[in-house]
Amino acid sequence: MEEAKKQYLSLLSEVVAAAVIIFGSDMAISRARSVASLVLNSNGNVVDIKGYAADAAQELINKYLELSGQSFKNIVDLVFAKYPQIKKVY
Amino acid sequence: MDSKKILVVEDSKSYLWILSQKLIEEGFVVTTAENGEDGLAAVEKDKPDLILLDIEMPKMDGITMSKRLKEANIQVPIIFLTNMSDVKHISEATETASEYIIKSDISVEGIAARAKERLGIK
Amino acid sequence: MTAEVLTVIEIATALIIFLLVVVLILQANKKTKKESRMREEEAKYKMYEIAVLNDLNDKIGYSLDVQGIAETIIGSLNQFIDYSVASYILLFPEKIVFKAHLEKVVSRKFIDTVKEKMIDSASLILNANLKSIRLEETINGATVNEKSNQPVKSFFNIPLEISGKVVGILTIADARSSFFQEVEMATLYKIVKQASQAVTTLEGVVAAENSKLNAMVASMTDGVIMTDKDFRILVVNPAAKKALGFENKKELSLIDFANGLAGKIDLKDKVEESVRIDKTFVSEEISLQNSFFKIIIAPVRDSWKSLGSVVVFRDITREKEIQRIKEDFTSMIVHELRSPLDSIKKMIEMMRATEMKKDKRAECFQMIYSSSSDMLELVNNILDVAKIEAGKFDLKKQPSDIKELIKGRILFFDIAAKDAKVNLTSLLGKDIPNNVEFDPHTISQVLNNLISNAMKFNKENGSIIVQALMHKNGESIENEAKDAGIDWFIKNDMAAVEDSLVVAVTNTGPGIAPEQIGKLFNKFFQVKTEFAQKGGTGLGLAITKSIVESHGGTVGAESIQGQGATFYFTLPINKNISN
Repeated sequence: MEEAKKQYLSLLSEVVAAAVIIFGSDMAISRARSVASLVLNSNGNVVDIKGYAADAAQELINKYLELSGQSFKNIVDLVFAKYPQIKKVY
Repeated sequence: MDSKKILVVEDSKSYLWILSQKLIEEGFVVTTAENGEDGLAAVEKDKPDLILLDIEMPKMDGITMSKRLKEANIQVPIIFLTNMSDVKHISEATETASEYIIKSDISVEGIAARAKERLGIK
Repeated sequence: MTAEVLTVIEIATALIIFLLVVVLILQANKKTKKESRMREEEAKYKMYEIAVLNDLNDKIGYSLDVQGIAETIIGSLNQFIDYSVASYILLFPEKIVFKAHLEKVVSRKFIDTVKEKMIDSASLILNANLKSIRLEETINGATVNEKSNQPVKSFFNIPLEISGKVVGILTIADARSSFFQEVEMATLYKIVKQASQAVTTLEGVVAAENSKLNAMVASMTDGVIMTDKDFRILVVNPAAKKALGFENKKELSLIDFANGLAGKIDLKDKVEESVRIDKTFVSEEISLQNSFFKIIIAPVRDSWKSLGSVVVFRDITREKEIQRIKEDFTSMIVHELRSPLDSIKKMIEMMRATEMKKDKRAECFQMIYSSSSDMLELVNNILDVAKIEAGKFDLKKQPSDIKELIKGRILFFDIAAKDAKVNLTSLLGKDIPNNVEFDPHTISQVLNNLISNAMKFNKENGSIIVQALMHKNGESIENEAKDAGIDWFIKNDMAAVEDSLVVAVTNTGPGIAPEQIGKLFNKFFQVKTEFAQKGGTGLGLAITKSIVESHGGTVGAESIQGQGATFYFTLPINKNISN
């Protein structure tokens, strides 16, 4: 698997993990699963992305931002800061 | 008998004149001053037996002049010439029982009579 | 095959087809039912949404209370979804408020788990450790029962955001797994978001109005303090701080102001009383920092509810000064009229009562005459001033010869000058035209005023000179004076002044102190001053100023103390005179 994709998987897993704490796993996982191009395992980690990773990331984050504007945005900023190669998609 | 000397301190020239005329007529020797400052100088120079002292005057008013005389321990009797509005100020300012005449209530004869009375002249 | 077999096959096929159709119809029915059930559910969500938002709208309408929003949502939740516990936390700087509503009996552990999850969520959002902050807990609804053994199996947190800040979290929890449907949860998130936005907008409006109000209050010249109903200061403007010398203090409380006013007014007491009996107080004059103030204390109410109070510091120093000047002026006028009238009365009494000698009678008449003249002059002056104030001052301008006018005045004052032992002369520049436009009557009055003042304030054997010259715009008056051989005290070079006739009266007297020069021409100035000590009302200069200014000119005075003074006025030369 390419390095870039690995990075995305890691990034998105962190985003989902944060969402789990913030929103509770019921909602967090439910939203993550509703992104068709993401594949999650039973632990809530993102294990595969079908199609463009950037698009998938955008879709996921937007779904969380729908639930709460400011609070989640700050967290996403912090997570993205750890992956400088990945462009912000929100 | 030596004529008694009266110092009249009054800023209104016409009033000063008319009063002086009457007092002279009654046999007094009259000196005049038109404000408190000149009045103090006149007291020292002429040594009057009685002072008729107007209250409202420029440069130094009657009350201040009387205070200065008291400070300098000058014992000349004073009769204040006043308008009704000043009566309150007189009793405030001078501790000794002071005599006063209300100008508008009295004629110059009356003033001359009071002067005689004060100096014990018949 | 026989005919009977065929018929059986036909019947069987028909039956099968019939059965198939029935099955199909049943299937279709089932599908429609499912659809309509779904639509029913949707309608239900929609109705709940509308009902709650309506309720919230009312609440938000009159208060920005986040707690109110949370309570409203939780209060109506059971109409919408099934759950065990609905709770919220509100985040304050010094504490966290936690409220849980139990729809079903749960254990203590259940509640603690919910609480923990909420704190974790908030901690992550705010990037802070909130575990150590004091927590206030309230639980209502069903009872807490240790026997109930069920743990939290489903839950979701909804952050509450106002004006971009997270102020709390709303959480719904249940003991059953995967209990909440996405669409139920989504509806609640949507409701909370809308409510939060409404509050945010309202906060924005209030903040904008507040800052407008603050700006207005800040710029007021009166000092203003506003307090809430607990007497804490909400607003204090710079003028209020200045009144008490608190300009540089940052945090001010009502106590600070009360201390500053100690002995003059019992501020705390009066403010409390004002609020308690709903009355406005106006204080007497109070002296603060070299100024005089009136302090106004009033309660602030919102229909029946007390909101606090307002304290206004009104600076009355100027008013007081004007009042005092007017009083002094009036009493001065009364004095100037009363004495001469009284003496006239006495003189007449004397003349009637006694047989006076002829020369004494003559003297008496003279005194009566001069007293009457003095009083008449005073009355005329006062009337002039009144006319000026009322704007009814008439000038009859005509081409006039200032030189003749000056000569005439000098002749008029000749005897008086000799009596006063002063030398009165004139010095006129060259090229003064004899047809300058002015009103000779009033300018004559001006010269009378200046010359008689000069005489009053002269030393013995002093001199008074009436001077006049033509001034050209752009030229220095000093040079022009030098050319004309005129010696006066004017230092102001007047280069910017247009072409004018400059007339001055210079004397050798005690001069005038610099701080008094500015006030000389003010009609209320004088009473207890050097100027007034020589008698007179001082109105003359005010009238002089009005007359000259009505001509379009200016007045002024300059002096060197101990040497003398120059009073001057200018009359502009009209360029289009010949037309």
